[in-house]
Amino acid sequence: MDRVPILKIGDVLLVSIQMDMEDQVALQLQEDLADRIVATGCHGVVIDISGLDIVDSFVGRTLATIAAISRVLDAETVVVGMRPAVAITLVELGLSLPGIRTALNVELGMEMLARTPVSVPIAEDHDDGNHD
Amino acid sequence: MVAVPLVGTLDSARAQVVMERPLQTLVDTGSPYAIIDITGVPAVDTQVAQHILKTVVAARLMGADCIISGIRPQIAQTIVALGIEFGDIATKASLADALRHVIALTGLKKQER
Repeated sequence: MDRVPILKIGDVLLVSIQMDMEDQVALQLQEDLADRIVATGCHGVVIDISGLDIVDSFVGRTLATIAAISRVLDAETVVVGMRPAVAITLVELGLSLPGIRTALNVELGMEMLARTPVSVPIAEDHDDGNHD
Repeated sequence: MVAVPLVGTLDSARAQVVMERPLQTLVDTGSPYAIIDITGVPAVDTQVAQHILKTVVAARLMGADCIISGIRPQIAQTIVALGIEFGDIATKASLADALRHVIALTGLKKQER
């Protein structure tokens, strides 16, 4: 079965979908990505769907699920490169994909992730030792 | 940014073009903002409003922000009378206002970097 490659670039996992998204492929990606986020400890996920001609309701929902899973694992997801035809179809279907952040292309998606504070750093203990 | 000044009546065939062209331009130019200016549109019925709304939502899905400008008083009244909800879509009185808004937004980002 086909698998979607997941590439690690710095603190970001880049998923570029260059094949037809069949339901099994989408579910496999969901699983693989969750594993990779935990394995690498990355804080951002960019999913490039510029190669997709068709995004059906299942794939749309899977993308939303992937975003939700990543959030639980402390990684922000940005879906990038959605084609106009795909966007129009999704709107006509009434799927506005709430909870998914989007950007026009990979570059802008990476920028978006760089701008958002990925996680709140653990506050330094500014205790000067006066415990008595 | 991409500016879309609409002039003339929008029938359904034209509305389709109005929907697709700006979205394709967003992809081609990689600009994250689009302004749809409807100063030159004489009448807005439910279908036209629906098309404009769909364009805005589609642009948002693609990762671009869409601003609607130039809604004339009569059109604003029509839109409200027809019960069309523009929701959280940004609207500005004039194209100049919309441009100022986008410039302020992009300027802000440059400072942040």
